[in-house]
Amino acid sequence: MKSDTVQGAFWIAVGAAIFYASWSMDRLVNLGVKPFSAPGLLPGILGIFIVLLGVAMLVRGRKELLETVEWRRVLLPLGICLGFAAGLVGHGLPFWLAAWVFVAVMIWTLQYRERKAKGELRRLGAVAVSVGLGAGLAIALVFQELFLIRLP
Amino acid sequence: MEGLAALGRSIGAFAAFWPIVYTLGATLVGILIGCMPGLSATLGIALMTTLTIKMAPNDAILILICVYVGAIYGGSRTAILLNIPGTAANAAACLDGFALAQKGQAGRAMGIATTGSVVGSLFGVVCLALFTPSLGEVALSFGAFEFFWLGVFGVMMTGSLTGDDALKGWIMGFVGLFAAQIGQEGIHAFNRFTFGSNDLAGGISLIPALIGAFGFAEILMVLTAPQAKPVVNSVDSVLPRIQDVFRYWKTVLRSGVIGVYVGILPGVGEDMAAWSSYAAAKRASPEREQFGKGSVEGLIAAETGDNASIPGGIIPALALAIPGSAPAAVLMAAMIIHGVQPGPMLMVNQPQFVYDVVTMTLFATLAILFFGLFMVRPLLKIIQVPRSIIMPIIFVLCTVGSYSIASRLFDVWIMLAVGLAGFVLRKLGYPMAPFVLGLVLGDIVDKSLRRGLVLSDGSLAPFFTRPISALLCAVVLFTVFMYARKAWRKG
Repeated sequence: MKSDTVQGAFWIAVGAAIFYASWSMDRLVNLGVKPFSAPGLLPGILGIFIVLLGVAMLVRGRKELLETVEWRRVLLPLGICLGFAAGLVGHGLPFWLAAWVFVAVMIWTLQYRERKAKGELRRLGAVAVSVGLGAGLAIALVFQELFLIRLP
Repeated sequence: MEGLAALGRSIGAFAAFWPIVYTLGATLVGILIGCMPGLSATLGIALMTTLTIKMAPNDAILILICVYVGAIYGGSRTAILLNIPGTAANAAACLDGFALAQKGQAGRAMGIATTGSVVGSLFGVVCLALFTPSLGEVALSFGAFEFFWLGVFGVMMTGSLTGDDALKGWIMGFVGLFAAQIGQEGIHAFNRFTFGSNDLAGGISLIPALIGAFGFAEILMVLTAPQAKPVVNSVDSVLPRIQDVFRYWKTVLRSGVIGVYVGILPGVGEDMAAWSSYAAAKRASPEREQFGKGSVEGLIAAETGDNASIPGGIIPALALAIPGSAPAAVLMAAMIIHGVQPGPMLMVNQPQFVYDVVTMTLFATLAILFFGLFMVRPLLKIIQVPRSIIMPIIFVLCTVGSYSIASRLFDVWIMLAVGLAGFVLRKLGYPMAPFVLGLVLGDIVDKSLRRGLVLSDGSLAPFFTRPISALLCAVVLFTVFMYARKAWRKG
């Protein structure tokens, strides 16, 4: 999405979908609910306003110089984050262990280029493993033992 | 007199060992959060809400308020030393704070920031004590019609004032209002937009969504930006010079008033308070050519403004259940979790709580004065920790924070989804604050609209003819008209 035109069209589609879903929502007439108290009333109005704002954006048609995202720099950390939160956590692995693995892998990934250039990969490995272990244990201890919070 | 007695009782109750320990510990945590670019006050409060969920309500809310005040203050350190605001609220402080640091006056700049923050907070605390009960009393006469317009007014104001593009701000506000409609609604217990999912029937929880918007999205933003190195490694004396305060007393007073006023406006927040105070000080100053080049007056205006807006933002959260900023929205959600029901009935049901909040904010202010004077050098160390070490740990905390409120993995997925969407939208120039306010106000707007229509038997007239409703409606329409006129002139 690089301009108002594309973004405006996107919001028109979103607003129209919200309006359609609200319009076709059960109005609970069989329960004696009056139309102005129906559950879909406000969502429907919001859908209309999102469509109107999308139209305003489309009409404005401004071409913006948007900040480009360096996806290569984001994708790997993003994948690791998603892997940790949606894959590792809550599937039987002790939380401290999952956190240890995640933090160590992330530090390794984020510092790899810089440390490799300096020939410090062994040191990076040691830092990643020790910080990961420390963070995993500290978070588990503070939340679970000190503040009695259930961890995933 | 009754108010003073209640305030005295609160101060007496909090002047004990554990509350003081909590105040100092939480304010320090807040300052550390504020010091680290990428971590906002909103995220700090959201994460600490999780950590304090099993604590006694007063202790938990004391901790959250201290984190809030500490984070906004702590952000000035990075603004002065790195030229990067620790939180959005400190962006205005970069202009003159960093310029002073480059002249070898980093310590003086930090002393001025401390003075401005403390004076601003104290001014805000006085306003919090004076205006919350009065506003609560006025709000007792509000009905569904007024609350509907207050909600819409909040979303429209946030949309207009945060970010560079009102259109995008309003879209985010309406999307936030819509997101709040997902799940079981509160009048007929009907499941909306749940597609048969029991998890979605519980709705989109505020804390996981906030952690996604301000935590995960921010981590991704930080990882895509180059890391700045501290320019200043040593500092001169950090002791505030009293003559700086007396010399600029008019600026301090003006910034305090602007900070509280902007704070009271629904959802507008500390960053706008700092910029407004800075701009007003520049307009009125005989030394305006010094602004941006290391002006003491500019720095003191920015820091007084943003800290005064903290208690300002808490005033409508307590009296109307309409938060004045994104961090105040989380604070309000935390109050509800701990069994406090903000809104007009608060002064009737729990009048002492308002004075407890005043005392908590006062204690937090004294704590930032303490840390500002005695803990400057150790705090500088935190700025030097690489973000490649901090950010993974923060993400683990985001995951724990999302999960722990209701112990359900679905909330972790909400955090991931909102975070990812927030990252893309922020890159496209959409502000997140209107979304957050929409999410908070969605329920109140929905119930008020339908209750109002039931009361008036389907007539829309009371929404436009009752005096306060008419006034709020006029402000909303005027905001839209001003935007349209500006857009038309730009062609």
